[in-house]
Amino acid sequence: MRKLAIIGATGYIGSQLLNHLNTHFLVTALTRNNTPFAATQANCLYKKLSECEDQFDVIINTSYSLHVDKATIKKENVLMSLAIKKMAHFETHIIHLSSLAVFGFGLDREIQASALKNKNDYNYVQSKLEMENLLLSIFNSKQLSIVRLGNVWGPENNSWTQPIADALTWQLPVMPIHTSFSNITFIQNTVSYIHFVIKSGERKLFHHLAEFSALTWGEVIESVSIALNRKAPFIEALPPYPKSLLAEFQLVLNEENSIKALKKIKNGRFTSACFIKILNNLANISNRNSSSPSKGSYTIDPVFYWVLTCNTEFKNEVLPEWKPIVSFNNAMALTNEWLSTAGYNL
Amino acid sequence: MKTIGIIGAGAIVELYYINTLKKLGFNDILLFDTNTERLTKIACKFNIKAASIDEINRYCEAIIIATPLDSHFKLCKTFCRSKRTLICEKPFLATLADFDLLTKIAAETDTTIFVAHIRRCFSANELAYHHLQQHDYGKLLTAHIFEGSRMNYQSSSNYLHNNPLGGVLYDTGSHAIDSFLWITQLSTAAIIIDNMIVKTDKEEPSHECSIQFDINKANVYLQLSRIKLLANKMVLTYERAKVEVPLNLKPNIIVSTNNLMQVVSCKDACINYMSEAFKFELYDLLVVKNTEKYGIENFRNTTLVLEKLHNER
Repeated sequence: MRKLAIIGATGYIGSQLLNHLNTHFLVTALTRNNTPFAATQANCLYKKLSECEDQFDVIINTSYSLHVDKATIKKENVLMSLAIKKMAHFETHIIHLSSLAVFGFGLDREIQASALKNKNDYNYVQSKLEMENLLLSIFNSKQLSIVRLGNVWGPENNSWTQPIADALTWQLPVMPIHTSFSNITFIQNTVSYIHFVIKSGERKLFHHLAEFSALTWGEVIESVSIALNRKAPFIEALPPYPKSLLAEFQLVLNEENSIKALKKIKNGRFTSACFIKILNNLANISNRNSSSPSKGSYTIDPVFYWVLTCNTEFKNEVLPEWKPIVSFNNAMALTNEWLSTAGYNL
Repeated sequence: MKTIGIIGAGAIVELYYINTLKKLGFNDILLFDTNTERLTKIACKFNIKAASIDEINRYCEAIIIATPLDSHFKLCKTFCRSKRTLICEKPFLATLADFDLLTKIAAETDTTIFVAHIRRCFSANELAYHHLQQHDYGKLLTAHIFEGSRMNYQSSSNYLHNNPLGGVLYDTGSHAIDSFLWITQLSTAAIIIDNMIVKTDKEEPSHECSIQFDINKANVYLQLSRIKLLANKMVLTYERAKVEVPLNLKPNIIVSTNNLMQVVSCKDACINYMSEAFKFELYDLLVVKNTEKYGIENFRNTTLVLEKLHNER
């Protein structure tokens, strides 16, 4: 049996991969934290990434640094890529799961199935980009496959399925006013494709997986809305998505509350990379002077809205022999079945 | 400003308690943990003093107990002292006998004990609590409660795997049950519990459980999981209305009467993040001293229900 390692086996995609591949390979779940709960639940070998001395025939990496500090992101990603190098032999197939977000949350960069330069961006985007480039600098195209996933959808998915079901349940804005591309890949298809890439002898460096990309968010949300018997409130006020440093500065200048303005700079797409040192000092000052708490209006993560209103398609570019195992209708039927058992449509 | 003692240097203390105390101006903090390596690490990280239990007992006007459930009674008893405030993390105590004895000791020693059931300050919980106080929808007939998420971290003390009281019932279940009792005004009412059926995925500590019971003749269906993602909501069916309440930081509740659905929103008075919730809670406990919401007497029924359900498993 071939030895396969999954790094990030406790996440949504990692755990689904673990369940599926466990019967086909000798799987080791690798995680960065101490004995994570989810890993101990899986019926497979478990190891801590930093302590793993084994070598594997296949390594699937779903992880990347999630740190809030950009310098630490870089450091952690380097350590992770070196750990992968250590676990690989000359014929190891490395499958790195990346994201469509490497083209920006609003897909405002040219979409191409090739290498991209590192750029300043939101931490998630920058970290995903850096991880791709670190692995490209270590492994050649015969060993490495970078699979950029579309928006992963499916039962128990906490990135898109759950937030949309929650927004419908609690009647928060969720339906885009204009047509937007869902850029979806259904979890069972995602897992099936990764397995196909492992089995296939053909090596392709960049893969874009979003088999239902052309379907609109409107169609997806409508289906959930019917299942939950809830109308879908429209997204009327869209949080601005900055496409340049200048545009982002303009947004900061328009902010009346100075603490909020500082936070915007600190967490900004481009500003965070430029002014982090000054801001850290200011943040310390503001912390020392903080007063009694005060409540504000409810805010939803702007990324959720940028993705729901994205009018750029992330087209499927995969190995031509692969066909999705689940159709869109069946994908939605399976999703709706989960919504019911999870208590959503009560 | 008071000197604050913290017992336990686990994830919640590292992520929320110390930062929040500092933000509220409580900079004089003493920390204790049985794991000396962990204690040193967290004390250094936040530049606070690592201390012994005795030092904390001697110098602190307020003490936060953030340890696993089975240590709460002994620690609370040790720290009871006149004019002192004790803040004990949820779940509070495992038995009603412990609860009644500790209440007596607290009264005798003039100690104020608060239970840190943080969800009582969540926007939707407050909204539902006040809404149900102001509207008479008749008798409560049924309650469906779903609380579940995929847990992907491990506790420092490993109590989720090796402690019989470390199952999902006392973990997130204590939050769900406490929210239910508080919102429905049952937390301080006389209650009768019967017809209990408890199913767990394995011996305690369990990771999933499904529970049915009657409380004052209302049927309660409770589904808990730390493996599966569930809707994280509570549906309360009264004689004349259905009230849906989120068990997380979502801002709205849904009230349906005569097939008419109404969204009741907290609008401009919302808590958006857990860090904000901790700031509100600790402000309420250490500055305002909100006994009406967090005082020990408000948690007798939560303790009672949890003990009965745990014994029935």
